Amino acid sequence: MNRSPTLEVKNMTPEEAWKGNKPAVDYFKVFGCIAFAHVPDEKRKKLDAKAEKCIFLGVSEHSKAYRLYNPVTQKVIISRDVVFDESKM
Amino acid sequence: MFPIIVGDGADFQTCFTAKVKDIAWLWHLRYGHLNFNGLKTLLQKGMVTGLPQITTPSQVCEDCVIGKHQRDSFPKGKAWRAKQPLELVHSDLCGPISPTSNGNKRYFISFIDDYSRRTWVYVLPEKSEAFSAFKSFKALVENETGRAIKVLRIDRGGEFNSQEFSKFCEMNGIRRQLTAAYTPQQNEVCERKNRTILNMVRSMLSRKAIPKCFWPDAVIIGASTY
Repeated sequence: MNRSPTLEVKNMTPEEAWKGNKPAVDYFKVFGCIAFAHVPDEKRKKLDAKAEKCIFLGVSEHSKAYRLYNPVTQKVIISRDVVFDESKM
Repeated sequence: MFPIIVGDGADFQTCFTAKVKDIAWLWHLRYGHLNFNGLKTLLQKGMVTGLPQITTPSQVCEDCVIGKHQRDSFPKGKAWRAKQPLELVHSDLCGPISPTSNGNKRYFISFIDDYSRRTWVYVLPEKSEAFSAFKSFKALVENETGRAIKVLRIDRGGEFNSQEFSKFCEMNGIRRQLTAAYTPQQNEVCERKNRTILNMVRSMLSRKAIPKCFWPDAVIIGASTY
């Protein structure tokens, strides 16, 4: 809600009222959409898949990266090398 | 109609008023505790016959209060607004939310800065964790702005009224504005924000048919990012 308009602060978002500069929203993705996270070289062999299929859950709090959930391994991973498929609305 | 014994002036006065009052009360009771304005209307507009002249007594009918008392209305748009960040912080705990998440989270606590209306949320496994959430929130925002939290507006939930919580507020010079008991209306900013957050979360989970136990992720991204 920090980057959405509100009647209580005029002509700016709460984030701008707090920080003083306009927030960027170019990293927004549809919650729950399919995301392919890159598997680093160290974690695969020559013919292994280079990406794992995940679900987008949000933005990492501590790093500049996305939070994804892999339903197969049932683990949350943090990755910044992600291709999103938002076409399946 | 009524015999009046004419004595000296003072006696006459008291006797007279007592009679009139009795009639008013009598008709008030006969009409099932109809309010005196109602009786007056009946009388003035001539809606019924047989009703004598009535003057409104100044006393309160005890049984009417017992039978009809209701809540006072809440003023609208009268709340003062903070002039600078952290002058006033609203907070509320929401939950328990079922199902519990994969990380055993059942509650979330929101902090709202009144000046900017920026929101911070923390998901908690238990209510008792609210204190540590508040401490980390306080450290975060005070370090970020260089200002101190002045007033904290919260409800009378047990999570905010523990000994250590009140002591912590006292030590840090935070004035607490507790809402009156059973009056969430006075914590309006937070309650409305919870509604917005949960509306958002329900829509987001429904769209992609995500299992409900993923609600903490939706709450965090919905409240603090979007």
